[in-house]
Amino acid sequence: MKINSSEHKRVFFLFIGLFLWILFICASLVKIQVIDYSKNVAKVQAQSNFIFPINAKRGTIYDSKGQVLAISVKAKSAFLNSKEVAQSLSLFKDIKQKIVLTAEERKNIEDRIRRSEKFIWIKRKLPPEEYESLKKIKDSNKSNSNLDFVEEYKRVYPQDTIACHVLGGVGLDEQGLYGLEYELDDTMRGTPGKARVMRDARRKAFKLSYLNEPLPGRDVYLTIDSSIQFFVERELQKTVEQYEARGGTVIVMDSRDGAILTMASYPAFSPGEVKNIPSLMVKNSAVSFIYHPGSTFKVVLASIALEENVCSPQNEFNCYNGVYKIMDRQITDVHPFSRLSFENIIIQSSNIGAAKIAERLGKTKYYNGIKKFGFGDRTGVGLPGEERGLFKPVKQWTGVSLQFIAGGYEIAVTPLQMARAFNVIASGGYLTEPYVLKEVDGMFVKPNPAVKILGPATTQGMTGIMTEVVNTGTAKKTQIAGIDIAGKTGTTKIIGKDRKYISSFGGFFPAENSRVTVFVVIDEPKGDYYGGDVAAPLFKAITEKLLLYFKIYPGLDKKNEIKI
Amino acid sequence: MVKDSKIDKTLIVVTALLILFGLILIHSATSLQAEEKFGSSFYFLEKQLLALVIGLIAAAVVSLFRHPYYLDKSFVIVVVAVTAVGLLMVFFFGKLNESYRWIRLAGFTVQPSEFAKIAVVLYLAYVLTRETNDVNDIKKLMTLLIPVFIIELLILKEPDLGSFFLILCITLAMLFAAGFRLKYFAIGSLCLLPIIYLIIQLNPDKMKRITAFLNPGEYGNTLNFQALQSLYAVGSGGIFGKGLGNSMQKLYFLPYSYSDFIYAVAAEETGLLGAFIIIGLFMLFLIRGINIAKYSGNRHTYMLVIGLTFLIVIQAMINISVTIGVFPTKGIPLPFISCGGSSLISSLIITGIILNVSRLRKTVFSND
Repeated sequence: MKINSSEHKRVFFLFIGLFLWILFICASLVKIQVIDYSKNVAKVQAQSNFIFPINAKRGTIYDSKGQVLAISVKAKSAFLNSKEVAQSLSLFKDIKQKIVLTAEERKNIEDRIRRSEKFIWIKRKLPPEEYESLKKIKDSNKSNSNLDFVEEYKRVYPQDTIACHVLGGVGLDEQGLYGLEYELDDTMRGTPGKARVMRDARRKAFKLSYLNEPLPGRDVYLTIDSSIQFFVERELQKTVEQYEARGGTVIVMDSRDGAILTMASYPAFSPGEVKNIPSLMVKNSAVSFIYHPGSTFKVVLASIALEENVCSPQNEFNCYNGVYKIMDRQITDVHPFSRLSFENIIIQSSNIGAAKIAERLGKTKYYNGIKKFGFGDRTGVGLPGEERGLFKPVKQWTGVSLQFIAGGYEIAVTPLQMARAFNVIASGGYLTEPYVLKEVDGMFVKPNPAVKILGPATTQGMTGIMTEVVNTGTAKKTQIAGIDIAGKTGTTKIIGKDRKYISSFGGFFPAENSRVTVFVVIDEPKGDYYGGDVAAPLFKAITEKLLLYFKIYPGLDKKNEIKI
Repeated sequence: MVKDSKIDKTLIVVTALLILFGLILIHSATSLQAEEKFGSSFYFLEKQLLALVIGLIAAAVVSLFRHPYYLDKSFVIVVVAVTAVGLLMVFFFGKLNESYRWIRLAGFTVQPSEFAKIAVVLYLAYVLTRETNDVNDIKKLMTLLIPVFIIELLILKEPDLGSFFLILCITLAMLFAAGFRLKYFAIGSLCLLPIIYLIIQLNPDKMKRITAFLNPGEYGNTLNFQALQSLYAVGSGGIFGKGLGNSMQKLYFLPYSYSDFIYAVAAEETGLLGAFIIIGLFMLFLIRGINIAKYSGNRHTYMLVIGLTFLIVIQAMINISVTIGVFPTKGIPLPFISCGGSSLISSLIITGIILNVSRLRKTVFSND
C-alpha cells in the first residue's frame, strides 16, 4: 500500500490551489493596508475621535473702581444621551421632578425623545442645587439611555440691575446680544479651544487631549462708577414712580474729559434675564431716545450767539408781551415780558426772546454753530443703537425753523448729545467725545481728543448766566447752599400728544472749574411737568450725593486748602 | 533496532510561534473588556492559558504513543460515534448566540464541532485507503460517506455554517487527493447547488449575511458592521501597524475581536508585516505537513496527514478571508491564535497526531 504518484500529483494541485488563494489574500492585504491605508485610517478616526469646541472664558466687565459688573462662571449643562425611547422617557420622568422647567420645555424635550433624537439638551447652565440632584439620578441610572453633563460658562451680573442698559446682555451661548456685551463681543469673547476625545464604540470616552487651548476673552474696565450708578438709579426710580412717568434717563459725566460715570435709565431689567425681556425694554434711552430738547437747547443758542459775538449779555430784545407772530405761526411765553436782556432770556427761559436772538444770529451761523456742537451726529460713545437725532440742513428750513429751533423744536436729540453740549460749557469750551470704555486688559482706551469750539469769554459768560438760572431763574429747586451750580431747565410739549411733556434739566458743578456734568430727562410725567419742577429736584437729589461722593463740601472755604 | 525518527522540530516551532502570537493578541484584544466585565484584565488570557495546558497535555499524549491508534478501525469508529453523540448533546444545552454549539461540563464549555472535523478526517483517511480500492465506485463511496453526512447534518442543525463549510471543503479535498474523478466533482456540485440554495433559504439569518456581503453599504450599520469594522481595522494598521496593544478597533467597534476577528487586531497592531508573518507561519505549517505526509510511508498515514494539515491551513485561510472581507462572515476561529479553548485544544491535537506520524514513520510505517 505505497503512496502512488497520482496521489502526489493531486496533492500538488491542491497545494497550488491553496497557494494561489494565499497569494490572493496577500494581494488583498497590500491593497487594504497600503493602498487604501489613509482611507481606512480616516474611517477609524471618524468613528473613534470626536472633536469638539471648548468655550473660552468671556472677559469680565469691571467698573472704574474694579467692581465686577459682569463675569462668566462655570456651570453644568445637562443633556440626555437617548438610546431607547421608553427608557429615556422614564428617565426624564425622574429628571423633571428635580429641576425647574416650563410646561413648554418639558413637552419639547418629550417630543424630541419620541422622535428618537439622540442628543437632547435637558437644561443649560443648571443652578448648583439642580446639578447635585441630577447627578444623583445619573449615578443611580442603569439604563442604556443616559444623562450627562458638560461644563459651560454662565454670564453672571453680581450687581443685578446696576448699569443694565449699558451692559446689555448675552444669549445662551454667551454671544453678546445688547449693550456693551454686544458692542465689545469680539474683545470679550475670546477664542474657543478644540479638544479631541477618543471614544470606544459605546461612545465612552477614554482619552482626552487638547488640540488648541481656549484663549480667554479680554477683561474690560468701564468709566462707569457703580456706586454713583447705584444711587442715581435709586433716585431716578423714585422720580419716575412719583410722577408716574413713562421712563427717565440720567447721564453723569466727568466734566473734564467726557468719561461717563453713570448712564441710567428706568425702567430697568436684570441683564441675566435679557433673553426673556422684550428688546424694547433693553433699549438704552441715553443714546437711543430722541426727543425735542425744548428750552435746554437755548444754552446752545446763547453760546453760539456769544461766540459769534452778535450780541452781548446785556443787549435787550423785544419779547412782545408773550405772543410773537411769525408768518402763520406764533411763539408764546409762559410768563409774558415786554423786553428782556440776553441773559434774562435764558434765565427766564423766554421762547420769544430766544427766537429774536436766533433771528439776529441768522440761519447760516446758527446752523454751523449747532453742527459744531455735534448735533445730527453720533457722539461715538461706543454703545450700540446710538441715534443721530434729527437736524435738517439749512436748505430744508422753513420760514419759522430758525425761531422754532431756538426754542428746542424742529430738532431732535438724544440725552447724551445734550449732556455733551452742556459739558462744552462745563469743560471751558471743549467738545469731548463721551466714552464708557476705559481699559481693555490694562491698556487705556484713548478717546478722540476734544475739540475746542468755544472761547473763554463765551464759556465764562454762559456759566454766569446758567448759574443765575439756578439762583434766580427757572431752576431754583436745584439750589444747594454754599455751592454754585450752573444749569438749564427744559420742558418739551410732545407734538401730536395732548398735554404730554418731557421734562429735562442739564447742569454742572462746581460752576467755576466744573467737576461733574449731569443731564436728566423724564418722559411724560403726570401732574407737574416743568423741567424746574420734575427734572430739577432729581438733579438736586443726585447732586447732593455726588458732592459727598466727590468730597466737595459746600460752603467750605477752599482758600485755606493745603496744596500739595 | 531502528530508532524512531526525530520529531519534526520545525512544526513544533511554527506551532509555538502561532500560539505565542495568539496569546499576545488575545491579551491586547481582551484586557480592557476583561477589566470592565470581570475586574481582571487577565481573565480571558488565564482561560486561554488553561486551555493551552490541557491542549499541550493532549498533544503530548497523542504524539507520544508508540502505537498508531489513529489507524485502528475500532478507534476511528469510537471517535466518530463519540463525535455524533457530542453533536447530539448540544441540543440539550441552552442556546448561546442563537445557536446550539456548546456542551457545558464541570464548568467547562466544549464545542463538539471543533473536534468533529478531526473525526471526519480520521474517518475519511481510514475509509478512503482501507475500505475501498476505488473511490470512483460511487455506490460504495456514498455508503462509506454516510457518517460524514450525519455529522454535517447535525452541524448544520446547530447551526454552525462555518464548521459545516470547513468540513465540506476538507471532505472534497480528501476525495480529490484520493483520486476522485473531476467529472464526478462537476456532477456533484451541480447536484449540490439546489441543496445549498435550499439551506440558505431555510436560514434567513445566513441569507441576510450573504446579501449584506454582496451589498456592503446597504447594511452598513447593522449586518455588515463586523465586516466593515474588520476592514477598517486591517486597513488602519498600515505597513508597520499601530504597535501591540494600540488597536482602536478592539474598543467594541469590532465584535469578537479576540476570537473570530483576531486576525484584524493582528493586522491593525502589527501591520502588513505581522499579517504576512502569520500567513508565512501557516505556509510553513502546510509545507512541513505535506513533507511529513510524503515520507510517512503508507497511503493511510499520507491521507491522514494531508487531511489534517489542509484542515488547519484551509481553516486559517477561510478565517483570514472573512477578516479581509473576501468571504461572508462565518464564525470560524483562526487556529492556534483565536481565543477559545476548544479551538486551541483541537488544533493542538491535530498537531500532536501529525507529530506522532513524523516520529513513527521509520519504525512503525516503513514495514507496512
